[in-house]
Amino acid sequence: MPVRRSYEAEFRQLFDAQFASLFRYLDRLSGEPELAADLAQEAFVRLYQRGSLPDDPRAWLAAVGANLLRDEQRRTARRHRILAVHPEGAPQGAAPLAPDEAYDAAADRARVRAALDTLPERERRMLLLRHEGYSYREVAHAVGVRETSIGVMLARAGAALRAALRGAEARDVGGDDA
Amino acid sequence: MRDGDDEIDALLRALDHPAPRVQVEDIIARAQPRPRRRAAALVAAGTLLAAGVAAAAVVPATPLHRAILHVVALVAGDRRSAPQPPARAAQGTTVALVPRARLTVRFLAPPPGVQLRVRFAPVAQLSLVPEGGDAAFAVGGDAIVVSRAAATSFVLTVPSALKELRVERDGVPVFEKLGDTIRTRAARDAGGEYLLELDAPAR
Repeated sequence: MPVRRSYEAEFRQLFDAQFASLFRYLDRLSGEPELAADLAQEAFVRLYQRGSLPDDPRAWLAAVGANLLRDEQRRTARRHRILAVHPEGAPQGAAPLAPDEAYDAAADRARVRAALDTLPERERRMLLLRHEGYSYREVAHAVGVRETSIGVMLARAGAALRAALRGAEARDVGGDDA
Repeated sequence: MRDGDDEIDALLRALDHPAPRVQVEDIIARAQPRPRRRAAALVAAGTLLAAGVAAAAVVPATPLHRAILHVVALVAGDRRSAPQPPARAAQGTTVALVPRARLTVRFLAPPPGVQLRVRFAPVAQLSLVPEGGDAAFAVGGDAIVVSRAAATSFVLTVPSALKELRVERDGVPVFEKLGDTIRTRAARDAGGEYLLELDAPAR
């Protein structure tokens, strides 16, 4: 497939600037770093094959990555459930933690993951994109909602996430007391 | 960001893992067509197809047997005996039909990143196969309408003998075949296939 030099230069620039961000978004969304790495790469492969940059490349990449993730999760729904109920190990490449620190970190991750998973998929994607530095316009394009609705929906999603975390903490305290 | 946002930021960081080191050259290499593998796959597929056609053609009451009868009827000019594709709607299936002289494939609001691979083959049946997800299809009146596409790509296999083919995205033509003339912005790869980005701006 013939690709213009200027497009390739733009693509390289975009890849250098956005790959880590797209990976982080998909990692937070999926809870599976290896899968997120594959999907982020596949999204960039598709962008390159497209032959021209879309109007809103970051939003396009986020939308494609999320679509690929949805397809993957359909195919491996059972595997995903099994991974989700077990706390993850230490992040890849991180300095080894003491056993009690590692336990706390894994528990924190599981708690945030569980709270995030209580949000509807669209709100979860919006919240993660916004906290990845996407503008309201980019979030609107990536998720497919009107830009004017983003502020209210994000505020609700943030409140729902905090409420889910508080609920989990209350249950933990109640469980400890019992 | 506000305090609440900072709090959520801190919580989300608990989920993070270091990004893998990926070179852009690897991405570009993966994005290139692979003519050798594709050619080998085509040869293998062609061999299997020929064997399958030969086997199925002699078995009465199979779809392929009926399809061959249909093509023979068309060639003989006996249109009255040619069965019409029934109008139907289906979800998450493959569309396969024996087209008449022309066919239009309409994609309605395809999501970002959806690709369509168009290939021509010496077959009687046209097929449209979603990959990586489902889609809703409606077939009838020399047209296939594809909506609610959750698939990441589609493969459209077209009989080489089909005279007119038109592929539209939301009413905009993205691929046209009229006789031996093909009009599309997609490049033809080394395997003779066309890869269309359905959300790319049409020329």
